[in-house]
Amino acid sequence: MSAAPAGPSRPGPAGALVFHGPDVAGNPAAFCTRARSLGPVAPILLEGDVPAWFVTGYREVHRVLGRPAWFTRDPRVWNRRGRAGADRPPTPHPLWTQPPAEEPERRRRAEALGDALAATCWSDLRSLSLRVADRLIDTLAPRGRADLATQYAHLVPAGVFVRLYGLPEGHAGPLVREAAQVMDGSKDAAAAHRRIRSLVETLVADRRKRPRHDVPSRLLAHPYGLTDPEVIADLTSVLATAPTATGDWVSGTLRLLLADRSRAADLAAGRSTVSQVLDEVLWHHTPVQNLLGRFAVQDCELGGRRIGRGDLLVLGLAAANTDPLLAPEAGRAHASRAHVSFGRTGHGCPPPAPAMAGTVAAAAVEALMDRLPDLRPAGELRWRPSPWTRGPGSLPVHFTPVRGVPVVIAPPRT
Amino acid sequence: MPVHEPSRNRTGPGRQAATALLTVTAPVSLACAWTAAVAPVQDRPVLAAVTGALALALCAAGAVTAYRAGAARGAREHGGRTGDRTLEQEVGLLTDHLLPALVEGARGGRSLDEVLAEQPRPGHPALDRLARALGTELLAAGERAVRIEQQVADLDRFWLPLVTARIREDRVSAPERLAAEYPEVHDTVASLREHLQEELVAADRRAGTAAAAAAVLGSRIRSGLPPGPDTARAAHLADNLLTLAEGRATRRRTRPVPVRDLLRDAAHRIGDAHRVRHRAPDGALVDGHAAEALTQVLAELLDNALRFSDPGSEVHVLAAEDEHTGLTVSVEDSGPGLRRSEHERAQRLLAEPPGLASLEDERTGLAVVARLADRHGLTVDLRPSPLGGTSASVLVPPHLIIREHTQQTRSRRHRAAVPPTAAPSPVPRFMSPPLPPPAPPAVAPAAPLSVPSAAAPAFAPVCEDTA
Repeated sequence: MSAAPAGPSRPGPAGALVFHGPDVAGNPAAFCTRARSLGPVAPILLEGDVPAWFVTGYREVHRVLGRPAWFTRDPRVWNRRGRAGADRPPTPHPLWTQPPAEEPERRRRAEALGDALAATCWSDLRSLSLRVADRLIDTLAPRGRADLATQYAHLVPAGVFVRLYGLPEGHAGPLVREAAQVMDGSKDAAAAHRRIRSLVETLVADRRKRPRHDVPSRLLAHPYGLTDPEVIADLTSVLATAPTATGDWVSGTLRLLLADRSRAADLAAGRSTVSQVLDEVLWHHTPVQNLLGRFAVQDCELGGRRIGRGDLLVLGLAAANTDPLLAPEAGRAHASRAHVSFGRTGHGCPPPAPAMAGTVAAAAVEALMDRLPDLRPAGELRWRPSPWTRGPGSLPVHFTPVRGVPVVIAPPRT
Repeated sequence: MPVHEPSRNRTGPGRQAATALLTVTAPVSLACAWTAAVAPVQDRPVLAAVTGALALALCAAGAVTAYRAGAARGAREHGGRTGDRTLEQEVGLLTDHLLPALVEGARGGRSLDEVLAEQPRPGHPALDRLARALGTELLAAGERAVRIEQQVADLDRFWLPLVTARIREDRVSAPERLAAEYPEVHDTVASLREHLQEELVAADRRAGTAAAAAAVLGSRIRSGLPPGPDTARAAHLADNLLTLAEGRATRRRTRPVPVRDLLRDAAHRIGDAHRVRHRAPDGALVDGHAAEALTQVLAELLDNALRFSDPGSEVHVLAAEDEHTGLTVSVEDSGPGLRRSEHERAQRLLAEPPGLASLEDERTGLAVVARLADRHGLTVDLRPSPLGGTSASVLVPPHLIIREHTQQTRSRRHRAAVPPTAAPSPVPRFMSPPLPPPAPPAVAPAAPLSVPSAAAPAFAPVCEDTA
């Protein structure tokens, strides 16, 4: 967001809030409060003075996500299409990648992708994640200090996805950087997305010729018989979003544990579990803060506002999760997973991706807490500047160096 | 070789024909004469002409037949004779000698020419060709059989242990790694190998899933228990479940723990704390990482000691510290002691700590102790106690002990001085062997670490070298 015009100097129509610049990225909670004061649906101006509606109410977000026939992902219905600069997308990828598939087609592709991902069973994914995490910790343990955001939290999910995709391990690092640019909607987002896409294109071409035991090969071999461009599009969208979102989830959880000693103490005493803390992060500090890319198919009313045909909506997932109209204990209730951080069942992050992200994130946090139990914050936390995602850009910590051979749980001898 | 001597007194076809002619002519002419004699006079010329012609034809036919038969036999005998043997003899040679030799050669993995060189060969070109063709087939079949036998033997002796090891190392990448390592084998063997591998992976996955799910349940039970003396034992059992299920420890200390506190904590986890007498050196602390494991181990040993001794008796826990050997904590009871078989079982468990999927029976206590000891480099020993019961001792290596006044691990000072037999090696058994090399067999080099410009590809090549 480097080219943001200086602050709210150009006020939008009808008191629209300026949705870019340091106001949103720097203090999202304060921005949410301001937006809420305008009602559950508030007018905003995206970068480049693109008008949109910001949906902050939990019920309203649910309604939008649950009615894909009214609020489509298809940017072709956008009433300002063509007016925004094509080469400089003001917003993250949904608007400038290929149009998403129409409904029966979308479901079919989501199912095929789900099958290809679900072929890796839970315990395999868990042991793979623990292995990736342990290897990273092996390199960090003797140093006594680390930046958990850049050297750990994002590298675990990236490493796992690289393995699931059958890519060489060295791709994890570059993938983290490229995917973060896409998700943050930074200036290079389009180029980064293209680079991820071309990686996937090469991969798909290779697996078409020589199938292996990996997600691309399984998706290509799926009985639904997807075409190569479909497979490439779906694999790219997973690779461009999942590692960053999961990485932010892990680093957000680690940040919470570092910042709040009582939570860390509860966890260390066995009074809470890692998955409870992970759920809490989704309620209160969800990685995908705001979701861009729903368009009203017809004139309608939402949260007391007249939404015009083709209007663009930005879903405030973080705002909806913390909607004051929700029961105040919602985020604390250990069993509740009714947050909208993954969208809504059937219309958001396709299954089994949320469960997979949870498995990877839990393994990453557990392995770190187990191996380096005395993590202490060292220096200032920096958030990545993005109105769309919220993740620590750096999370420096100290700990007692663990020397010698890494402590990895030996498998049971059978 | 029972080849019959060929009879040499055969006659030629010409002579046979002459003999036949004579033999036939004599009775025929007699018959003609007699017919002419008995016939009425007026018919004699006609009859003589007819019978004469008939007789001539008959004699000629007999002679021709005899000649033909003789010529045919001659031709057959001449054609079947090769060298000194007849066709029957040649076939006998083939059946009785050459074929068994070829079968034998096929078993021994010898070459066709080698086998043929040692045996009398059929002289007849067709038979020789037949022998060669049979030999080629036989030897090829034999070779195949030997190869398959060898492949099955290799699978049994070498590959199965390797497959098991690879799966144990990393179940997820094992199939890919193995696929790159496997040699080319016969289709049947390959399919057997594949099925075996699939079954082994599936079995390992089932065991892993069961264990990991049990670990999740253990930690949920653990987190749901309110703290307090009433729930301490349940929490201890949940911890045990978690340990056996290879879960990451939920309870962990971030700071060194005084040995005295640790002993007290262990006693309180079991419940019968009033029966426990403990004594610990002042100023000794246990490294935070190992403290939780040591507490759990001691709680389990205390539980055993309390349950297997008189309810009125006391259990003594003594901790003693030595600069070189580390911290020794012994748990002594006055119970009946261990029987020989129980002692053997304990030694076995301590040597090979089982997981949830490899328990011998329902007694899990010692298995938990063994796993924790293995993981944290503690040495556990069981022997008869001077008090009459059992003495269980736990040795904590010096690098996990911290002196309160120095707050410094003693490892650096003492590691060099530790006699090799007195303490476990500085690298305890629980530590993993060096990690295996990255899984994929022939992957591209690591990607560049900086994000390249838009022109340059951001990622290293995806595919293996296609050349």
